[in-house]
Amino acid sequence: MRLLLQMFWSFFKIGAFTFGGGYAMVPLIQKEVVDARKWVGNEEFIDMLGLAQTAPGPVAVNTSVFVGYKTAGFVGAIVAVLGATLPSFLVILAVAIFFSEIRHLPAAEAAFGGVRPAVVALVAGAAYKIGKTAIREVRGVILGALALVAIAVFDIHPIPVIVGSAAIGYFVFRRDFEVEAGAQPNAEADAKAKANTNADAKAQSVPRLGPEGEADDSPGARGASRRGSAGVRNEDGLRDQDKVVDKQ
Amino acid sequence: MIVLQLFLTFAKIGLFTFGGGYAMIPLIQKEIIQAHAWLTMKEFMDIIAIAEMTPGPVAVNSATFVGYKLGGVAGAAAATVGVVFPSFVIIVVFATLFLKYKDAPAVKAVFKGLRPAVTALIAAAAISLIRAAFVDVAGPVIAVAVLVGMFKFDLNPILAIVLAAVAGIVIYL
Repeated sequence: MRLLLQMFWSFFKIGAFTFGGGYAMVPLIQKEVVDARKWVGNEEFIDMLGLAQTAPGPVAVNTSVFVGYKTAGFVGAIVAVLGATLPSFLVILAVAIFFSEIRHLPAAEAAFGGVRPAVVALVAGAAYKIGKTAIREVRGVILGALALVAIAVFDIHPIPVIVGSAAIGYFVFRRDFEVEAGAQPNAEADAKAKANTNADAKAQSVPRLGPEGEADDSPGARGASRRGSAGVRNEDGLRDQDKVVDKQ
Repeated sequence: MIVLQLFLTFAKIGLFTFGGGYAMIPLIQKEIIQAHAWLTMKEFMDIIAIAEMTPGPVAVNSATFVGYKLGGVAGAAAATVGVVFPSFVIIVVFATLFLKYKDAPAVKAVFKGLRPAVTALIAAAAISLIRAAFVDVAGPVIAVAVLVGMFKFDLNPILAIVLAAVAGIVIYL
């Protein structure tokens, strides 16, 4: 009960201070749900955002349902979505009742002149924090850069970008996790994994379309040559790359 | 009767709006203005302007407003619940599957590929907000101040918004 009340209040605050729609809610949820309450972890939060984006409906609503469900089940999902939507419901109701008076309120317009740049900074800051968790190695940097170009330059809808990146992730990273999951990966199994990863990457670069397709060759080839030449275990290799990325 | 109609119409809008926010505007236009003639185009533009100035998703704001105009508080509630309902059901299904299979190597790999794209999406959102936000020199100054506050002093986002609103009133009023 205490958890439910806390969750309602957290999402009520988030709902009440989300101006500018959609992603303006991300920094607030991050602060409240990930940093302060620790209801979801950093990576999990990013995964939720990805799923929230591929489902219909407002990202803010979807994320609140996800966090609520994960934290306190079905009731938690209802409580979280109520908390997130109630502030705007009440405000719009008030606006609808007093419509003509509130339309051109100079003080409100002036306040929003200040809030809009703050929201830009908050969302940019959230992107940076998310990037630190999400992008841990060179292949991630390449994927992220391709996705940014696809969205910001070519104006491609977020859903194909997310689905495309997920597909690339499946073919590029699957072997890493399968090796990790195996009990004792010996040299022979490692070599097989290497060969397969490479083959997968090559096989997949043909059917996929759009700028994302290019991601296959370079990261795949990189990964293979890295593992081949250094002869280190997979995770160590990844950790070395993490350091390089962090320094950059 | 209008209450049920509002629920169903907005459930349809909620179900077919991907990407949130402004992606749903054409759909609302088609359903609310053309098919049902519940609003005029001018009233709809006013709602968009209000939605930008009030907290919450544009979709939810529009639903509440249209619902109230047509069916009072009950209408507002029906339309708002309607617009949220499809995503609620779908996300609960997604969350159940995600929590069940998140440790499978294939699922881990998918999400490892997806995370950089999510980062890019949010970075792109920040970039797209810049045009409306930076109308004069005060814009970048406020943005830099918020970034410094966020990373040097762990400034709470809610406090940042309140302070920025005060700054806006001081600067622009």
